[in-house]
Amino acid sequence: MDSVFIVIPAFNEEKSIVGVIKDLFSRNYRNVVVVDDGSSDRTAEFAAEAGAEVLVHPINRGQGAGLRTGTDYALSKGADIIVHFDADGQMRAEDIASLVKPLKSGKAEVSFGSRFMAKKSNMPIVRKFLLRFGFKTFMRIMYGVSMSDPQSGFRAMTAGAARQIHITQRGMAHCSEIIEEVHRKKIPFIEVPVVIRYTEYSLKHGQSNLDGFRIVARLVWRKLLK
Amino acid sequence: MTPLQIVVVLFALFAFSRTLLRLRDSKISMKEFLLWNTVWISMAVIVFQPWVTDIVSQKFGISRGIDFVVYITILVILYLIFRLFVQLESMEQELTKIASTIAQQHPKKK
Repeated sequence: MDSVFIVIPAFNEEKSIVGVIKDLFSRNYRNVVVVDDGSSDRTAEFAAEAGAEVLVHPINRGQGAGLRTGTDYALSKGADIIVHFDADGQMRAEDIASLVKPLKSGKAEVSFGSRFMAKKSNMPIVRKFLLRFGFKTFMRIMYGVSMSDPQSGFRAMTAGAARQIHITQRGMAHCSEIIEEVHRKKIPFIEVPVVIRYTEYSLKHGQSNLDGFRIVARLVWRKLLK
Repeated sequence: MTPLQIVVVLFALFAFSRTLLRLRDSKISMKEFLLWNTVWISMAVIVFQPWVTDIVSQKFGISRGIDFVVYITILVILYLIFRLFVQLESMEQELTKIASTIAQQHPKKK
């Protein structure tokens, strides 16, 4: 049986982290790695009590950095498949199976969750517009990649793919960076429909629409320095 | 002496003393010390003898020496900002590496 590791970067998520871990355990995902990204609340403590393996960044380094730490750790523990998951409860553990399936069958090395392929989604309309038209066009111009959901943080990858993908973006720009890496290194990928639950809590904790512009600025800067 | 000359000389002396202190603490190399002091001394020379800049500026097709100084200063400042950005980014990457290594060395599990 392939060992699936769920990597969850978390920053001040004491309110939601336990529920997220329990949901994963109830679906038999036993290897849950929470990367506490320098939280000032009790995220790390609660996550460890809930049964997850917890890695603690002594200072806040951003979501991309958390994913990198968790992914490296999972690889060192012999993970076959690594799933990137959110700590704020907006992703559903039940969707992991459909992300992992194409990897197990050898259909792809990386699978990206797409919020736009699924029918039910309560995504706010402004965000839908920014993501569907803004980011999509940006990704096409910058990297020549066409994806239905370029800023989705819900993804799974095989150990082989994880070793090839280098996440250097500390913050939220890692989503587009991973897509760029996959595209550049010609790693076979697939998009899978997932449902993201937008709650008042997750919207408050997650990215704002303004962050989108910041991400674009960082990606352009990175491209210039290359 | 005009007020501007007084201010510039005082600033140059202050900057010189700071650079000297940094050299004594080994925070900067002798090369950097000489480079910075060339800047401070040039400032003092230019404020007393502005015509010095005309000699160089005319070679570049700029009639007023002071304009030439301003252009060069802007270029140098822009370059320094660029270098700072690059260095800051590489420091950020190093910090992330350290944080990640520490985190992986001490996993917590109940």
